[in-house]
Amino acid sequence: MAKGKYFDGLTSSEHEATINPSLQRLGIIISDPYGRPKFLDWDLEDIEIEYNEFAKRVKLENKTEPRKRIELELSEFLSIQDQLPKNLRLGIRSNGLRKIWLFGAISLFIIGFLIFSYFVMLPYFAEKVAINFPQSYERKLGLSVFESMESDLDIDSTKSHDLQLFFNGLGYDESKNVQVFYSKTNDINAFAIPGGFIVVNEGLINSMNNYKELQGVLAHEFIHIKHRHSLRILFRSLSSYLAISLVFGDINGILAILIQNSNELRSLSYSRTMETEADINGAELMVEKGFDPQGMIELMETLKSHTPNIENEVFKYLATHPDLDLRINNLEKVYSNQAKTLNADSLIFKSIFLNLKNDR
Amino acid sequence: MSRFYFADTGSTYALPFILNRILTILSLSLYYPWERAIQLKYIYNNIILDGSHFDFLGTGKEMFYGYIKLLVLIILFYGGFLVLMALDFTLYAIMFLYIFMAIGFIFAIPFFIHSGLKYRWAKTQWRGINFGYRGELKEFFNLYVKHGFFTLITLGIYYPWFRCQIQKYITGHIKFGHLHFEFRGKGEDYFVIYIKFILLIYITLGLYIFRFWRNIFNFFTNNTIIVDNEKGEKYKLTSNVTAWSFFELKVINFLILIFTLGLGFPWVLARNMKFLIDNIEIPDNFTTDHIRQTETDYNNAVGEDAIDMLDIGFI
Repeated sequence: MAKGKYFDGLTSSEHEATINPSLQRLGIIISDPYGRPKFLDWDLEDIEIEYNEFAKRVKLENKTEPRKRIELELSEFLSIQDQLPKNLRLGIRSNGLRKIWLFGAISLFIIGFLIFSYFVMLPYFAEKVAINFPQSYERKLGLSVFESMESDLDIDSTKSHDLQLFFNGLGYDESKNVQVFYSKTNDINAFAIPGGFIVVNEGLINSMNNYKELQGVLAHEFIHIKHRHSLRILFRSLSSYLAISLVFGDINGILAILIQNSNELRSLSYSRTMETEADINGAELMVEKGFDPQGMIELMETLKSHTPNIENEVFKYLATHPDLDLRINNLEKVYSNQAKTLNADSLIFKSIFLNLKNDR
Repeated sequence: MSRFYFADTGSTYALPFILNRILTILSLSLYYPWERAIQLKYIYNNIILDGSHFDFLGTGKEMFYGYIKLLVLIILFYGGFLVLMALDFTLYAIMFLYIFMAIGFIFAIPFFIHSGLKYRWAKTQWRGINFGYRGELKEFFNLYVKHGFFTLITLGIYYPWFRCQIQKYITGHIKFGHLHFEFRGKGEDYFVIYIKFILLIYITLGLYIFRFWRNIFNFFTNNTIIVDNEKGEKYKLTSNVTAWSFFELKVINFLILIFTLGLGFPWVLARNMKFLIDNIEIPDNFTTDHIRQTETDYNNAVGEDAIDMLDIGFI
């Protein structure tokens, strides 16, 4: 015997009910509005069972119209369920614990899988996409970024031409797609834009001591372009945004991010590994083309002498450009002992460099 | 104990929430209707009226078909826009955006609201008594387009009247057994709420928003009436929410979401529901023992378009 509540499907009145299963039948005793007991008798074949996990109630519904139902507390139902046929029992008592374990294991597995995909698979695919991104699109993207910056850059076309000559003479770029620009900006800086644009600031050139440093900076920026560092960063951040907005079900956000990011390309900064890669591979490229990789190291020294000395360890750690001392060390480790076969054109480079630097 | 309240704090939904969210993500959101069904079951089963919980009888499978239609629409929308952008037809892309949105507002939204209401109310039950929505698509559509047009040409000034007309139609066609509902809100009262908002929001540095939300909540609740034609009685719902309680609700919800990185959503949901339900007061003379079943045959008629885009708004 178990106690529950009976609803007749015709009105909302609630009746206290006592149910009593027997072979083939379910006997139900309810009290009518005058308090007298009333006996009901359900055929077990007409009954459907449903466990409501949130209300923690068991619902037995009689399918014959009007649909009547009895609702029982879970514990009440479990006390009579052995007397019911198999199709009207709940698996909870025997399976309860196993279910929780299974549930836990599956959730853990899925969460692990998600973490794995977020930190390993997603960057991998982003990288793949960046590498296979059509060159023409990259060029187009870079061009639009370059055009939007052009007015701020204050490009000197004559000097850009000289700089281009200097760059072409280096022979780094075999496909001859890269365009180099001289910007009359005083920041001690140079940067690469995807698709093949390198901009070198006047401030940087004027602070250099010799042409080897210019060879170094161009090698460094060329590696950023060659290895598509900007695109890789872009796709990496895009894909994680994408994953996050998927989690929060925010489809609108994705479009906004796509639009926003194409503009943010210019403010993207490379990761530490990418900077190191540009340093080392840049120096390798210099050696390969017969230039003195010492230029790269001297460049770092120049940059260092113009950087305010930040003693604070926290800042050092946070900075995206790896600490310059560290970069110099890395380079020296690899190249200090390298014998150099010097490129014969050094005089030409020297004169173009002096031209760029002094002609005011 | 109160007669009408929300019974959970969110903890019983935490596990289903995580599992279902993961399934939705892994299935590229195809699983979403099932997740939604479970969420609605959770919400309905924890709304208690006179000791009995509500039931949501809908299933993910039923909602799936409507969801697919919606998904196709969204993909067409974004896809069309992105393709045009990619082909450098920026002007056409923007035109496409506007036209699609205009058509959407005029045709799709009333359609989605209608089918959503029809489905949702047909699947709502309390003590075995079915609810139902008896609005007609054509009527609703005409109403929506007509008042929507006024709103458009008055640059939105007409919006409060538009909103009240819509609410009046919707509320007026909701059945709960032999009972039905009525909405008495007047556009001019709603308009005053908006005017006050515009005048005071800057002066109060935005803090007026909480009072504004309170005013809206009270406006909709206090103008909703339960009608019992058999007894010839009307029962007015009331709410006395304060701006402070709104502030508390929103700020704490925000903090929960931030500090749990979104995993605290079940608690936020429960807090919202508790706020909504617990603050609606039902008059004492309204008795729930003799509501007669009237919507049974109605229940089976639905299923054409089981779209469930409606927000949690219960009334």
